[in-house]
Amino acid sequence: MKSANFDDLIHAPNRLMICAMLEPVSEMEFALLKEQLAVSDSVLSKHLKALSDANYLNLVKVTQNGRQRTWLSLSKVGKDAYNAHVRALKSIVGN
Amino acid sequence: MNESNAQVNTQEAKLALLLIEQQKMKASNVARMPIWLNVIFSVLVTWLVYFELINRELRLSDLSLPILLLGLLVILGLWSKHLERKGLKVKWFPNKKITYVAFIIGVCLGMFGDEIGMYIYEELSPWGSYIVPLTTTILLVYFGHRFPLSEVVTADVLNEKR
Repeated sequence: MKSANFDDLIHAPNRLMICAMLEPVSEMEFALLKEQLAVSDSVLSKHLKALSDANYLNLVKVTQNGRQRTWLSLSKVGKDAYNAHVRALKSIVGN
Repeated sequence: MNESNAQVNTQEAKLALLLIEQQKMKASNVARMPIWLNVIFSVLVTWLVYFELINRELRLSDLSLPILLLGLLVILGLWSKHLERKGLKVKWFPNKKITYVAFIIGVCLGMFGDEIGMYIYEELSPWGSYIVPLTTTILLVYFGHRFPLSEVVTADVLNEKR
């Protein structure tokens, strides 16, 4: 049985939303994530850095048509931590 | 679970889970095909499975199978490119229960398709031959629209959206 583990880093609302948006997709671009979360560049960057520092996040910068795009995805460590955190939340609720 | 868990009460955990569901819904909304494309895609898939692979007596011509396959691949490729321009790359084989169920159904159809086709054709003919594919199309449209990222979103969030 997979373990539940409450993760303080992920539990902050903005970081929880970032993980929830990135978990079901392969990759998401910075601009789309910012639009969906309705936050500023600096706020999103701050939370992404926190996740990246914990090795929860992969950031890939590519230049397409002269424009730099940053693609974001959860790393294996990040996915495991996020899923364990969701299991912990469900266990608190009693599911 | 560590000590922080004790500091989070049930209400806060519920809110956090609702927040997660809302984000899953947002990601699904970005990835969801428009309904007309979903219907075309589902009709082509149903046609391919029932009339080109299972019940070949109803196929249009020898060329229809490769044309249908090509059409499906083109739709998927163009939709994938469209999403990429929007800033989203989807998983082609999400590690979810629903994906594995669909895969197993596909394998079973591949293995027992002839027997199923003959049964449908002989026992349920003439209406059954069309009602079963029609039902399949409706189910494909429903599941494609409801779970575009193979993600289950709870009824609470769906109700909130309405």
